[in-house]
Amino acid sequence: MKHNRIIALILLAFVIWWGFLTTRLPETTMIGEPGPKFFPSVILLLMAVFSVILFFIKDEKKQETPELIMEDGEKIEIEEEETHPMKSALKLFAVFLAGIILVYFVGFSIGMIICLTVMLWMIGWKIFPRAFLFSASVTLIVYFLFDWLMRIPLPAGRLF
Amino acid sequence: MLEYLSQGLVIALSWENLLFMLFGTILGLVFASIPGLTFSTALILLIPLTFGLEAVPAISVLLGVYAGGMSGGSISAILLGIPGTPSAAATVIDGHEMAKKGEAGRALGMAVYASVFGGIFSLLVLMLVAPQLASVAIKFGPPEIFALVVFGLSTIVSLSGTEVVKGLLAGLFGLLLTTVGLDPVMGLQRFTFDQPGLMVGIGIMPVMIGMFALPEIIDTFLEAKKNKGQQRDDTQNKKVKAAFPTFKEIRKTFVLMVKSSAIGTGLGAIPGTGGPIASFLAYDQARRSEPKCGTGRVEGVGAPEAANNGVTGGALIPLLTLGIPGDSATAIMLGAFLIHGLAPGPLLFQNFGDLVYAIFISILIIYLMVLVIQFFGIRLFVKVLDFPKVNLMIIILAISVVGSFAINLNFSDVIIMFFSGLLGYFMKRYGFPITPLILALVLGYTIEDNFRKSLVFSDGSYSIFVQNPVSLVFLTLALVILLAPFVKPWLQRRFSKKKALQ
Repeated sequence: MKHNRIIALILLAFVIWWGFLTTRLPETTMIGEPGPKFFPSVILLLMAVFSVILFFIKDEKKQETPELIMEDGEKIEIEEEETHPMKSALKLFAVFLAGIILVYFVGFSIGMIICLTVMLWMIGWKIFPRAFLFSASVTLIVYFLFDWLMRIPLPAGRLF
Repeated sequence: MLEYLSQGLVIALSWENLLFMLFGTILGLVFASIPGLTFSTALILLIPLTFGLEAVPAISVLLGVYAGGMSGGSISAILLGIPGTPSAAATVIDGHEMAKKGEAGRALGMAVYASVFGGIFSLLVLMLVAPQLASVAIKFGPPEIFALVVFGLSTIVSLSGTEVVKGLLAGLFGLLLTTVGLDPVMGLQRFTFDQPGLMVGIGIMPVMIGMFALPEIIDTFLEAKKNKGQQRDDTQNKKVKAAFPTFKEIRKTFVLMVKSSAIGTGLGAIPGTGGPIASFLAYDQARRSEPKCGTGRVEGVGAPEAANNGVTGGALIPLLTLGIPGDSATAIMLGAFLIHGLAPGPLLFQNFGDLVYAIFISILIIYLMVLVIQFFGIRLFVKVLDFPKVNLMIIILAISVVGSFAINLNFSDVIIMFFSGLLGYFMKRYGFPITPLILALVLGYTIEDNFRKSLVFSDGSYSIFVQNPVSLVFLTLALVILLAPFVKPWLQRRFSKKKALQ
């Protein structure tokens, strides 16, 4: 199925769900005032209309798939980023989310160092001490800049 | 006015303000010099750093990033042929041609001169027009404000580029997000899912940080993974030195500079237009005055640079007087103003006149700083082009977490930042523009609040919006702008059919 169609269907499902939530809002008691339901209802109606329009809009043509085999018969290895860029991006997002959860439990300093080190390792910094040292330096700089110099508190951990 | 000017001068010339302006200007120039990094990201990341500052230094540092960012885009445009910012795209045409001919220094010198010319020109227009416009806008009531903000929001169409439907959907989603939290009139909870963190609504800053910074960070990481080990060869640029335009060049291009700056200021004042359009229109003017443009002429460098820097002062006119941001950068600035207790709009001029004039003077100083730093520090910016983007992005990622947390010291803002970033990444990937969502998020509350207040005043009669000439004009303009992309192709088809029949 085409991307526009999938997105349009997701949006329509979202509109129905949010519309249901909107119907549960209370009515207004003021004369002339349209109430808390009115504005979300208008937005949802317009969103539904444009989602239907999007459903019928053709996707933009993508670039042709690059050749896998060279003229001399040599095979070209296509890296993961070229074939599944979304998958790689989602992996990085997942690590970042894990990092945020870690920050919530163990605090900014430890959580961020671990999160940044893993991310650097994932993008090709295979020398672990280098990735760790760089992440630790960045976290330390941010800590001193905000917490120490500007007195802006950083997220503290729930556990310690 | 003179009283405000003298008070503003004292505030603007304080050492603290000067220091922050300098910092902001350098940061803006650095971010704009590196292709792929936007000064909007720099603006977003600086906001948390300004929390502990007074309003004027905080705004000045952001203005420094804005002006420095607009000007700095020309560096990579000329030296690498890659525009540092979308506004510098037109500068590539002649600027890079000049660099290829070994005249990079002349091109860079002209770019700096034109940027400062355009910036100061737009500042003068801002100083003349803004107070007058504010004195008119102060008389606006809820129906006029509603119509005005709807007009501001209609620029979503022009901010969406070719994907108008997707832009409108993004804008509508942004509006829907503003309905989360307490109802503006009755104070009831809406869509809060019994979460105390959502009672105050979805914060603008965490969404902005997530949407602007995270997709850029993830893309850079993926690119770094793909291009590992590849280095650019910029040895020829390392010895470059900016050469200020000669008196003859200045005299010859003076009229073109004025025209280009006026184009930039005028378009900047119209929400939703911005730098790229202004710079290409100004480039067209350059081609008219110098037919050899395109082969490496200073006119082709000066005109777009004067225009895109003219946009800075122009864009501040609707922002400061009406509270309407015209693009992502001014939307971020609006957020910063609000954080520091300054609500842009006509009352800003009435209640904080001294601060407004301090901001005006700060812009002038910032452009003088741009002149000195970009002209004499060009070798430093050439080195900046070699700085690994991944290292910078790691720093930005860490600041994104702290920045979103520090606004309300609330961890749920970090979660909002993350999911906004994820949404922003999907939007970017599937062609949904981000700026309409941000603009709607910034303006949504004002629209609903003033719409409902207007109806309370009129006892529920919608005629209040058409009886008032000001609101009628703005709503008609908004309708024309919103319908144009749908009606225009239909009219064109009809016209071409008629022509074919004839």
